[in-house]
Amino acid sequence: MGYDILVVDDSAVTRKVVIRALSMTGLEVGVVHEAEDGLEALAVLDNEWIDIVFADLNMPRMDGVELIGKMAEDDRLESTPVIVITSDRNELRLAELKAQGVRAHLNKPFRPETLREVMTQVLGAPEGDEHGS
Amino acid sequence: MDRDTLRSALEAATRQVLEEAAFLFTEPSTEPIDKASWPGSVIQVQLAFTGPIRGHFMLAASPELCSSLAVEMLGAEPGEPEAEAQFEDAVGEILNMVAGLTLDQAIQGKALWELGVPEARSMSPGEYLSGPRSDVRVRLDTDEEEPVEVAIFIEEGGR
Repeated sequence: MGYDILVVDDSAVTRKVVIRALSMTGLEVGVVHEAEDGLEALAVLDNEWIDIVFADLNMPRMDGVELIGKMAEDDRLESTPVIVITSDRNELRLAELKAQGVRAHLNKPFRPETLREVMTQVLGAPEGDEHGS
Repeated sequence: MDRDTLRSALEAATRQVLEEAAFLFTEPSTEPIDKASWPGSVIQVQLAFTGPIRGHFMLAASPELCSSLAVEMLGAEPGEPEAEAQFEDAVGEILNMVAGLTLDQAIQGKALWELGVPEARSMSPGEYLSGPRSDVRVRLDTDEEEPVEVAIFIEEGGR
């Protein structure tokens, strides 16, 4: 049984890049859901079990910061880990996001190896992982 | 802000993003862009930014090159129509990454920036060349000598 994942980004290309990178991490990936913005993401989170959320920051209707805030306010979602995928490398902003509960961030462009490292850091090393100790 | 520092950061960021995101290797060129640089139409993408200074980033390339970028980013087969059709989204994402990396390299994390949403438009080379030209501008040529032009337009005032 793999990780069920939600990828939130208004760019269809970026969502596909993330999904492709996930398939190259060597980690067990279950169902991957997609959402174009925070509002769609909340609808998915309302109906599906999600192990981890990858979220962009700049999105229409509801951006990543607001999505993270909404999740933190919801008892059902507050412990769901969020990894921000962003072009913004500003340390001040990333520190603000961490203070709001974001577990980690990935700067675009990124490699599947980096994605794997971040997921392992956030979710812990998977059992039977051929790359683990 | 020093124009030369911005230009160097823009060149380095664009080359890095094109290589890492789309496996496209480029070299800087001092040849001026002219109507012959792009035989057909040009895709121009713009992305606004605000912060201690404000303005917008711009990237221009041929539709064919933009389609190639989409194919590479998506890991699709060359010529795959569904991948090629997403070329505006792909080049918008390229510019988004270029902007983030440029601002980070130029300012080194000392300020907060906001990036807008990329907007792409198709135009003739003549229309492109008759538009505003920034002095913070870089031309990069691919292995097949296809040009990509990136620029930063800076407005007076900040946030």
